[in-house]
Amino acid sequence: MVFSSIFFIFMFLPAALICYYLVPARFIAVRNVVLLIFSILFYAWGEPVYVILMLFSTMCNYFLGLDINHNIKEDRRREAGRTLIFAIVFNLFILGYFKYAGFLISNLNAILPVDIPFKELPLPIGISFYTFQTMSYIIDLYRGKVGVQKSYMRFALYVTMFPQLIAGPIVRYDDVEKQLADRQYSLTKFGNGAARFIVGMGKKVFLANNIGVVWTDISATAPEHLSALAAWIGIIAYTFQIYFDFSGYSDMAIGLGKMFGFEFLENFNYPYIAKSITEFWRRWHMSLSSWFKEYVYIPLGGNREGTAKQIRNILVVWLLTGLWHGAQWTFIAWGVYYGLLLLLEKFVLSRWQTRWPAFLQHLYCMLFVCIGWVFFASSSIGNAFAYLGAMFGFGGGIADGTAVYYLTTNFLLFVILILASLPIGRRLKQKFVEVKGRVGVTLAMAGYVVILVLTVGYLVTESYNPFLYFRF
Amino acid sequence: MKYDKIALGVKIAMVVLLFAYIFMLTSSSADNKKPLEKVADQVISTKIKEDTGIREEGAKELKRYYSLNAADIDGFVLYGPAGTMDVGEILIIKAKDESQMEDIRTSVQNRIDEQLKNFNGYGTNQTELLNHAVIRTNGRFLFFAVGDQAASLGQSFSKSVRK
Repeated sequence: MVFSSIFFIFMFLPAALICYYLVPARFIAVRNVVLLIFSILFYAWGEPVYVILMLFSTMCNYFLGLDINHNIKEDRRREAGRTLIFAIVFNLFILGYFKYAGFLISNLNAILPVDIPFKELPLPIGISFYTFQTMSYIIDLYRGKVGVQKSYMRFALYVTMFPQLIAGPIVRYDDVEKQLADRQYSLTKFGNGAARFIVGMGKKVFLANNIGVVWTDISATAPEHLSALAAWIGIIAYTFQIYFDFSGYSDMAIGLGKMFGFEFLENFNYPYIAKSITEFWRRWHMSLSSWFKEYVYIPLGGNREGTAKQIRNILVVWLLTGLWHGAQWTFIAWGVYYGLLLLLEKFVLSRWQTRWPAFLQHLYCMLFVCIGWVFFASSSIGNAFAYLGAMFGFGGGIADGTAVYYLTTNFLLFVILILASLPIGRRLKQKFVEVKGRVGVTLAMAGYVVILVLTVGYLVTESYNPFLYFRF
Repeated sequence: MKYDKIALGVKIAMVVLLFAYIFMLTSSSADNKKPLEKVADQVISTKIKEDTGIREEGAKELKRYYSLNAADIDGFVLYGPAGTMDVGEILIIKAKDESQMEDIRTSVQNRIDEQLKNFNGYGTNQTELLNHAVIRTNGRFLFFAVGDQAASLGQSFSKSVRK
């Protein structure tokens, strides 16, 4: 089920909220069960077969958590360590089989003289997100950072909670441990959640979907017929599409969380205002980068064991980050590309970079981010290089009428997208509400209602348009 | 000791259950005995035909669109685009055996690529629909659809051919 759909907005969400709030706040265990049931229904809507896999994974990790806790309490660190390794291998096997086995076997079949038979299954939606969540619980439990969760209902709710189940943010157990047992509700919090949900939906429906049409059009043209200007317009369109699509989803997830009394950490912080690639990754998909930092980079030794190992660690993390996004060479190339760029910044550019004029720093960052998206959006490495060729004038010339048409017809949209990528809107709203007081709040609320009404109008006429990050 | 044995038993059970689940998913779950016509009737309603304007096509079009010979497969039902600017189509194929499925799937993928080339640069809506084309396989059955209702038709197909 998609958040930005009429069924979700007018049927599923109201039903979930009514059932949830009909239960008095003091019966939090019952509220948890209500939310769990709706979360399972939400998942089962699209993938009834894979609900079993998700619940099975949840059940296994719940038991493995109990086992680790039992061994730690009995001062049997070695046995706890064995269970930890079993849990990691078990979780990675599930993720690996459903997400990467087809890719691995098709590559092996291409180089081996025999054909390994393999039946590829559809990717279970959200598997990368919920596997990382369960692993964060198991690892943190072993490290003593979190307490064991003895209630299966609470643990299952942590893994399956529908606002963040399908496309994140990756919520670490540490961040919601207390909220599973006790959370604060208020009308203001609910209102802020609803406002955040509406803003996210607006980002997806108005901005991401509209600019996505430009990218779909341009990327459908063979790169040899694509002028450099058209290729740049195309990839800039995709740059905006993926940001507003994914950050819109995160806004909706965080907003829905608030509506049910939860507080999730932010996933984006205006990444396109970054002045370096390092800063970009501190602002983009923050829950994923912090997961890799915490559970891969630091355990590998981080920057504590000399330059050579630090370089290795950075490359491993970025290779895995690329691979996490999908079983495709393009994602691996995208991850390694960022690994190399970050190494370049850390060891070479950092001495001069901060002395460049701010404008140049932004330009440099966005140039490399756009190039990165070419790999991310392409179906093969060959296509990515062909598109990059077009961007640098090796396709259909420098500029053509088609490019000018795309630019002129979408000029206003591009201006809106640039403004929406900056924190100006948020600051203006804050200032407006501060200065105008109640009138400001009322007008802001009216603004949200207008966005909601217009979005619904769009959704009624629009065909199905899922989020880009659903495939991860 | 007793606890360790139970914990080990639970871990073994987890692995066994996981493999059993994967085996269940990968082994064919299709009702291969079901007649193709019955599947087609359950998936493609008269209303869909009227709404989309698609029209029934024969072996010649199967060859032209997909490079597939009707004689090589058990049967097929094909509805082609209503006009030259339309991309809506529905294809259900029943193969003679499961080893044919990969080749049939490749032929369908080639058809999508070909259509994307045809509408390249000017057919925004057509390209959008082609990018969201649905291909589903189960046992000896393959389903392919392009159009606004492709996703829901795909779900009907999965239900129809399930054992």
